[in-house]
Parts: sequence; structure tokens; C-alpha cells
Amino acid sequence: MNMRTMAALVAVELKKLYRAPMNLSVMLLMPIGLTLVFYFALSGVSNDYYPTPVTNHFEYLLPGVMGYAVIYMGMMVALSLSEYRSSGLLKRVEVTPVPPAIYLGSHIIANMIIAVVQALIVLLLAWILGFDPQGGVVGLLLASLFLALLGVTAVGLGMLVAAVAKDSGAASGLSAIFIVPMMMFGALLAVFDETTRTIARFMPNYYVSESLSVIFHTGRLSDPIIGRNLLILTAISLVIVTAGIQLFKRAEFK
Amino acid sequence: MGNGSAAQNGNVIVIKDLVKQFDDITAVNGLSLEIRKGEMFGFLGPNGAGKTTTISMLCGLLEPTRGTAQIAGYDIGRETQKVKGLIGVCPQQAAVFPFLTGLENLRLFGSLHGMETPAIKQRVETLVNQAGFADAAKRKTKGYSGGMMRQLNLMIALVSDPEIVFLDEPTVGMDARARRRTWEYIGALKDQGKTVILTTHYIEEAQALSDRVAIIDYGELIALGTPEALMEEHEANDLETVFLNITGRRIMEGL
Repeated sequence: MNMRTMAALVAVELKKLYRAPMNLSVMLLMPIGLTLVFYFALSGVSNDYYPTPVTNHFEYLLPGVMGYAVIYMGMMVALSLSEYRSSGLLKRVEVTPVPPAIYLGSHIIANMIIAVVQALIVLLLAWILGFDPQGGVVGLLLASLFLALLGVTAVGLGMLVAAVAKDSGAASGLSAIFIVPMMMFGALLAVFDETTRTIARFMPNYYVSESLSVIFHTGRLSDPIIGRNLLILTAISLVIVTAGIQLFKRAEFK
Repeated sequence: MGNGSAAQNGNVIVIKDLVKQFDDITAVNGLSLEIRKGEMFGFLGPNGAGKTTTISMLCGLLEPTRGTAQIAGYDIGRETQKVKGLIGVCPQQAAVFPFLTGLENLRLFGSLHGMETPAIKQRVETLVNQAGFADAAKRKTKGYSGGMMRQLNLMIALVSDPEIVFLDEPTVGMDARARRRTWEYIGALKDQGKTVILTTHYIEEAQALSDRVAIIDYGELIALGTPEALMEEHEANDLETVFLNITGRRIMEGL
């Protein structure tokens, strides 16, 4: 029953995306807009002072922008769960025999899929705009794995926020607490020296930005940074999603 | 159905000294009663009397502070998942997925109850046809009127064809005509042999539908019996007067 139930719930979350025009436009426009803004603002800026082989600042920041598109899903999850709570849907699901872990697991899977697609939209648009990603198909798959793990982390953060926030307004405000530092530091926007890089190391998306930089800028898939970061990110995502599920379960389910 | 002695002696629900406290407020205070298989049982009382809290504990939404309850022999605290597999719940707040059609909502909840696809298809078709809801069910629920939403809310509770159905204020906010139609629909559940537990603050509704009524006030059971027996005992023409005779207040006063 559980796999079939989870598949049905994942399908509901994906249907919500294309049935609600606002959700669909946020999903498509956010990564497209983000990429275009960064492209027009930074593609003409030389990247002489960064130790990477890319030639302009847009390409340098592109892996961070991809990670940011994923992290943003955390807010969408927090809003969605808050809305389900206020509409009574969470309680309605709770009186069915479906265990909370299955219900929350369906949110993780659905949003992980959406998050990876969003990040790949960024990459596709960047490629159309002239970026030449290295690493081939294997590199792309490896990058997708990093993005999926970051998606799990984002959903976990969304659950943590939804457990604390009383309504969707509070959820969106609280989400900014983790989104803004991740954007500034984890996405490498404000990483200029060792101090800011040390701060960035506390952000889960930093490990994605760094790994995707190695993959797409150098194509060195056997670089030890990738394996190390994969382990770190896996550990972070497990801790955050477990905490998110437990806290949300405690707040919402008996 | 069920595994315990409670189910064997004809009582499908057995509640013993159930208490629910929220900080210093006692919402349900030492409730004990038994509900028979196939019975239409009404919880009547003013708003805030503890009716919804009682149902929430029986459905596994709230943990009792003290006391026990068994549904079909299964303990509501220790065997919650088994209890949830047996019951259908129609919450007071019509809760449906707004971006899905009525049919999709029904199919989804059938699936959440572990039903197989052909069984879901057949059951959903029966439900929407019985309710004259076939056309509306094809539309997204976002455009439904309040009455349609409540109708779908009730059908979702019945999609798994449960033996025991909890209806929490099923007609609140409905006009008189829609209420009458819903009463007929609920009445038909009894003919299907289902045990129905209904909370209401409408005296007329409790009298029209219930085989037996538990009148609750401030979380305590103040009267229990058939509407006729209670009216006879308190020399009253309706359950409102019964409540007035016991408490000195009217049920509708708090609304």
C-alpha cells in the first residue's frame, strides 16, 4: 500500500504545480528570471581574480544560482504545508491509515523533482546564452545528485519552518531567515575572502556550488572535492530532513 | 470486524473515563459510554461542549489526557492505524484539495485508505451517482459552492465504505433545504448498517437522526438515551427543553 499511496501523493503535488498557474509561473519564471538577471548584470564582468578557469562572473556564479533555485523550494514547501494545515487538509489526511512519514515523504520526493528541474532550467538557459558546461552526461548526472540532495535539505528546512510558523505569512517571513544567508554565502554571491568562505561552509548549498563549479568549469569528475562534498551534503540533508520530519510530525500529527 | 470483547457484545465503541485537558481547560471530563453496532448516535451540546474534542480523540487526532476508548475492539491509543482503517471521518471544516476535481479527490482518499484501483472506481461511481454529483465531480473543487464542498466532504468520508462513520457538524452552514437533503443521505447510512456518530448543536437534527443521544455540557455527559426517553424523563417536548431543564440554559445561547 505504501508505495502506491506515496506515488498517488507525489502525483497530487506535481498536479498542484501545473494546475495552479501561479505555482507554475513561479517554478518557470523564477529560474529563468534569476539566470537572465545574472547574465545581463555579470556576463560582461571579468573574473580575473577568482581561481577558476571561467572567464566571466556570470559563469563563475552559475553553480551557485542553480543551488539557489533549489533552496528557494524550501519556502514553497513551508507555504504549501501551512496552507494545507489552515485548510484542514493535514487533519483530513491524518485520519486515514497513511503514516505521516509516507505523507511527508511524498512532499520530499515531489519537491526534489521540482527542485532538480528548476536547477536544470537555469543550466539549459545558461547553455543557450553561451555557457559551455564541462563533465558530459556523467557530470550532469552527478550534478543532479547534488541538486537532489540539496532539494531534500530544502524540503527539510521548509518542514522546520512550517512546524514553527502559524500561517503562510509567517512561513514566508521565517523562510527568509535561511534563504538570504544561503543566497549570499552558499551561492557564493558574497564570498570574497577566507572569512566569508568560512561562513559559507555553514551553508548546505555551498557544497553544491563548490562541487558544481568543479564539474561544470573543469570537468574533473574524480576531483576529491566532489566525493568529500557529497558525503558532507548527504549528512547535512539527512540531519535536516530528519529534524524537519520529526518537528513537523510533533507539531501536526499525534 | 475488530478483535476485542467490546465488538463481541454488540458495542462497537466503548469509551471509559475519557479526559482531555488543554493546559488548565478540561475539554472532556470523564466521559464514559458505549455505542452499539449499526446505531445512529448523536453527540448534542452547545459550542465548546467537547463534542469535536471527543471525536478527535476517537479518530486518533488527539491523544487523551486520561482514560481509554476502543473502536471495534482496537485501542485508540495503541492501535491507532487499525482504527483509522475502519473509520470514515467528515470534519466540520470541508477539507479538499482545491486544485483537484471532485473525482480526483475521492480517488485520492480511496487510495489513502489502501483501496485497489478497480474498487475505488466502482465505489466513487456509486457515491457520485447516489448523490447526483456526477457532473460537478468532474470540475475542480476550487469553483464549488459551499454546499457542494460539504457534499464532497461527506462523500470523502464514505469513499472507503467504512463500517463506522464520524460526522462532525455535517450540516453547519447549510440552508434548510440542503440540510434536509443531507439528513436523508445520512439516514440512508443507517439502512446500510453503518454505525454513525454525529455531533451537532442543532436540536432538530439530533432528534430527527439519532437512535440515541448523548447530551454534553462543559465536557461532561449530562444525559444519555433515546430522544423519546429523554423527553419523557424530563417531561419535555424537545431536546432543547431537556437541556434547559438540566442546565438552566439553552443550547443555542452560546452560538
